[in-house]
Amino acid sequence: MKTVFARTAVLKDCSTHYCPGCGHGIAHRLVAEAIDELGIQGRTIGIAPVGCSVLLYDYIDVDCIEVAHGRAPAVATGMKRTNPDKIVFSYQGDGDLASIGAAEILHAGHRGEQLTVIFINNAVYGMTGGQMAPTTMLNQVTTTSPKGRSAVEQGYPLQVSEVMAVLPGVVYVERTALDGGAGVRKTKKAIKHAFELQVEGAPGLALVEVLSPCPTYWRMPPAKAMKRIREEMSKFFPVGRLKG
Amino acid sequence: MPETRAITGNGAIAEAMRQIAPDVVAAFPITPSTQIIEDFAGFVADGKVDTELITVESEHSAMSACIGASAAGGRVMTATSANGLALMWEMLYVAAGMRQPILVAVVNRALSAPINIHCDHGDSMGARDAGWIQIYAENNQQAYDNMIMAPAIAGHADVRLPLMVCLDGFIISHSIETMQLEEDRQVQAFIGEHKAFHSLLDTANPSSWGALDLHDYYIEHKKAQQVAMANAKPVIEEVSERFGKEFGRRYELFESYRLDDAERVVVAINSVAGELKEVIDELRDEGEKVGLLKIRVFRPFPYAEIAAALKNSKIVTVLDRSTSMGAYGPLFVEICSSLYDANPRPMLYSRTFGLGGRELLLDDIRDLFEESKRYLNEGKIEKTSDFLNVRGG
Amino acid sequence: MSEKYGLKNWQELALGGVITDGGNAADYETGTWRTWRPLWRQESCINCLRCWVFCPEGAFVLKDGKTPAGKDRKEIKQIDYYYCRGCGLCVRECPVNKKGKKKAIEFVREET
Repeated sequence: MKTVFARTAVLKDCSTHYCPGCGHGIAHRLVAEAIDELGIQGRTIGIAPVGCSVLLYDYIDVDCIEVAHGRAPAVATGMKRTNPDKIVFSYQGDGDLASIGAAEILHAGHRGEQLTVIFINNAVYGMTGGQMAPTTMLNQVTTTSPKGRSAVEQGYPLQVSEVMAVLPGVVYVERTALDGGAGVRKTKKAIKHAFELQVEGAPGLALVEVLSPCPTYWRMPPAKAMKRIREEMSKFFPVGRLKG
Repeated sequence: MPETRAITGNGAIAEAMRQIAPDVVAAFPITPSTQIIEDFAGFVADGKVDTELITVESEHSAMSACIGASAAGGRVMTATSANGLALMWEMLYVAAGMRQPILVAVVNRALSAPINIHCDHGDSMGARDAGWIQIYAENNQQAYDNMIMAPAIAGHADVRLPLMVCLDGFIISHSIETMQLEEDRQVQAFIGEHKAFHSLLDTANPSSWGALDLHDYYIEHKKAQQVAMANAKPVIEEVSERFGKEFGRRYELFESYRLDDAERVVVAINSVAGELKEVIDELRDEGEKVGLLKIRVFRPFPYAEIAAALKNSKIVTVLDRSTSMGAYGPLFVEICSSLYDANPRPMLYSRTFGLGGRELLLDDIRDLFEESKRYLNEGKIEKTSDFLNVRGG
Repeated sequence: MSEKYGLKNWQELALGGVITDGGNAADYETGTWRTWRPLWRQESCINCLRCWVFCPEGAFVLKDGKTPAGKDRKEIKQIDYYYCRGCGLCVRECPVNKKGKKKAIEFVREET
């Protein structure tokens, strides 16, 4: 029998702790496949965030480092500058990248660090129990916005990709969505491209923002969560290639 | 009417915050303190409290926003743990130096690295020099009571210092205890009005905060702060006594449990006291003269009072749930300092336990008392400082 | 107050180092920073007041005067050397200086 599809060896053969329907499961696979297809497993370093994907190092079979909340791009800078031949990537959520780590990602982009950043945007702080994140959408109910996010009280959702695309040191920005088969395939292409750029030595940061479902804290079944990305999230976070 | 409710430690703190009704709460979530802010956010959304809740981007910003709000004359609170408190570190010193009565619920959790979300006093102990009043709680009721007393202590004219109410992460924050929540009006009457000083919003009387202080004045400002800390001790006693009269539960600078005629004493902080009391009761029934000194106020440290309480003991085991790497445990160092001038002086030794949530079982406590008995009988401390319950010894 | 140093004792300090007298920058003798000094030449001055506008220290003191036609106007009275830091902006911005024939504000080395 012909093998049409197999689990990549870069994705460890174990079950993850993610909720049923969580986008991390898909995103991890795409990252692992990209690393596998580019043949860089032996020289890739991953940075695990503080967040639901804090245990990324248990799932993706590359050397990994766990860092303090939000500091991944700063740690990545140190690693990449001292090991330019290694492929360094960070994988971060809303709290890690857009909130506490806002300064770090901005400055890594500003300095033009040659890094790959995978930003998983699910519009909440997942690990701590579903609080409002900078990316929480208007009127979205979370535990710290029980009446729904109000622009006047709490500000508008932060569009990280748009902010990063402005920086000359950022060479590639694309926003994709894990909202169905086509979205997953586009996300794969974007993630692979973001890694490719680093392999080729592109002179700057490559960022992929992945809109991801969080059935648990959106309080809906997984299929509905994906529908929400298609119908609601993409209005606040337009999908597409913003730069590069 | 006060209400008897089965509620978690975090839930009780959130209720206390609702009753204190601060002007501003600026917060960022971190396990295991997150639920305090979530519950409070619910109160704000339901109109049960009129507080400006700002969900900021990190704990450093949380404390910064609190400092700004306090300078503007507001009553200000927040809640955090571990790395969150650590991220606030420089601002803790700022709040204390600027003499702002900011209140923080610290749900004690271990500091990274490695990442650990469980109970450990490393966070508040790490901040012990910052100039904050530190009050610890054995259980949910005490955590709630300490929080109710906090505004009156911190805001007292002779004190004016920030204050952290510390409770054990998960053990107290997440476990449900049947406890008494006091009536809103009674609590508010007890706390009283917030007295701002030199509010930035008082434009009729302009002021500048946080100005530069060179070598000609810095140390004088620090002396004033140290004196305020010393003033905090009698203020804490006074407020605690008033609390006892008002609400019926009496608190002192520390709790002496079967201490009067105790020969072998353990000194400890927070929830482990519960286990210690249980084993002490058993041992007492067996005729052993054992007792517990449970710390409530760690800053300002009540050296003289503790020395008096321990003066009749023969051997003291100090339990630290945190380390000062390369040195003796923080509580041990303070207890030794208290007893330095005592004559006679009990034997003293340190045991570090419970880091990262490692449990101390009742049997372990029995072993602890056995060991102190052996040391006492032999007249010699075999090991002045050691960890408990570590695989590999 | 410490007799010896003329500085306040710790008991006399405002809580938390708060400064309660607004506008106390006026007590700061920034004039001690000068290494160059502007000298105002009244005879060449046209009272356009640009020096006063540009001075970052507000070191130009004004007085009431009259235009040749008799209308009220403000005029330069003197430079307040308590504040003047000798930055030279007045020297540079003076239109009489710019014309180059004579100077309404001269810039000279401060005597040590």
